[in-house]
Amino acid sequence: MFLCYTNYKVRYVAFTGYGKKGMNPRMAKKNKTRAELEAELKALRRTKMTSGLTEIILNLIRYGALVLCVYFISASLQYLAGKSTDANIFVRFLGDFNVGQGVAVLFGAGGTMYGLAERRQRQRVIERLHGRIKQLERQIDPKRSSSNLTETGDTNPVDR
Amino acid sequence: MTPDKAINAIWASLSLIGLIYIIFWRTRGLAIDWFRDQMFKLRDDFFDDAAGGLIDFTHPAYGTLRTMMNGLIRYCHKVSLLHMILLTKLFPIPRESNDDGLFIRNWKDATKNLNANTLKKLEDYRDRMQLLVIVYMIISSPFISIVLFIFLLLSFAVNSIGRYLFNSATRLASGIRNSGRLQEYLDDIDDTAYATGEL
Repeated sequence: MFLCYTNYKVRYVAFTGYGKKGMNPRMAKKNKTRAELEAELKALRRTKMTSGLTEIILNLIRYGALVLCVYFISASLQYLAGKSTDANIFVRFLGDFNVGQGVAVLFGAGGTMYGLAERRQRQRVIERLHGRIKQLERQIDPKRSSSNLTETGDTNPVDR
Repeated sequence: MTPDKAINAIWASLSLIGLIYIIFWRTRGLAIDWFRDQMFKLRDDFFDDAAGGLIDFTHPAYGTLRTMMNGLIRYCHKVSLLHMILLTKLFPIPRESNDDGLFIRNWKDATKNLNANTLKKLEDYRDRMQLLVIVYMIISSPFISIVLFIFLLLSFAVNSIGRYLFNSATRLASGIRNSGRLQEYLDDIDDTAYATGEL
């Protein structure tokens, strides 16, 4: 029974990070009863299980859609392979590429690259400002807690 | 299938891969960034309010609410509409009608000594937090975001057409007014309005 409780406690710390550096010191100080800890663990385990299931379903949809597209491409290539040579397929493929399509592809790819560059720029701003905000807030609240994201505001690799 | 159709299928599939990347990866990433930004804004407002004397930084209610905000910022990438549906349908909490949840119990305990005004403001922060979570779940869902995108595009188009029509009507009215053809009639309206109006 004691081992079981200790196991719960270790997993609880692993889940919540209470007691770890950067977590809310106010919450860490509170002595929780065993019933409270068990209730919290139950809730966390429930969420963890559903998160896993959600990830599996989402990945199935995402990668399933990609696999389907690759299948369409390979089926089309297989059809063309029986009709023309490799060089012919490539020439036809490029020959079919008209100005309108070219502009559309450039627009899509350019827009995506622009979006990614803007995101990177925003991350640089966050990286530059976050330390300063943290320092200023610590002067007012020395026990200021953190969200534990990375310096650029991305998900912490340990939380993935 | 003709060779032309096969080439078209390849182009369509390549474009679909690009769309899938944008919808399933980038759109969700954007929704996460948006949500975190909004939560940081909310947390900053809360911090400013606390610094302004709303509540002490060491008060358990402040700690509880801030911890909630930190938790949402930290783990929002795991929250989704599908997650919520699975959570409520597959693992419902067996709860008595008078039994509060884990958070509500702690929240009631933490806020019991607060005055009504402070409690109201803290509840307002909780409401805003929950509202953000709902909006986030909607916009981070790939399927709903596609529908929303189409709807927004349509509404943008309708709005632009409406604005164009309104501006055209305003320009036309301005032209008529400046031409002076209706001046007598407008003066009459002014006189009537002045005579019937009250201070």
